[in-house]
Amino acid sequence: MHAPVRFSIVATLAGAENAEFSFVRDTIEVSDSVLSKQVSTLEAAGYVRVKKGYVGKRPRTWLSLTPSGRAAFERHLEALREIANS
Amino acid sequence: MDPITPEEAREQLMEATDRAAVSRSDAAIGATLTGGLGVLLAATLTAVTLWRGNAVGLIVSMGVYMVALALLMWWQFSRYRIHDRNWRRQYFWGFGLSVVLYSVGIFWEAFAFPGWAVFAPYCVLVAVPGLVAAARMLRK
Repeated sequence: MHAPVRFSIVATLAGAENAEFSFVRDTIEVSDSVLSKQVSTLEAAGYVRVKKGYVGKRPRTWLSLTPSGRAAFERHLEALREIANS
Repeated sequence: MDPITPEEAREQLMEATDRAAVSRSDAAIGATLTGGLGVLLAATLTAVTLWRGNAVGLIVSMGVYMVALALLMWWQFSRYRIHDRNWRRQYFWGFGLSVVLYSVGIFWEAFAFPGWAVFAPYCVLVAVPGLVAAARMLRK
């Protein structure tokens, strides 16, 4: 989560119930492969849940924060606030 | 990991705030769906009541309802890219209350129709929870 791209992914998902992969990619302005790699890292850490499905014939991938990912992000923000106020 | 400076921490906090705001990007889609479902239920109750005792009219009314419902849901599924965290709760409250009012209206018109002077405002009332939820989604 400390890496800039991972921070951006988690920050984008923090306000959402879930978000489509392409929406996150466009929002944080990275390539498919970069986002895919970072999401895999976050998924392995148990912070992000990946759900694949279809809308009609179009494949869609939805990303969401797990409760532990949300808690970790809150802890991270708290640490940032402490540093910012120091 | 290198320790970050207070300035870098402030920048990350600002980024977190900005990023969280994008979850509102598709609020209008959720509001359209929820408000649309409320209006659709109100219109269906009105149509079903207008066609009381007419099997063909009832079938046509329900057919139009099913097609409109399917189109609305398809439109929503194909457009939505991000769901705000509070979206689901507001959707269920708004749509759920409209469904409850619709169900009460179905029984009311079937067993004790009070006349249009009373029932027409009730039909409008059926749409209100969905529309209120839609307004809350847009306003937040």
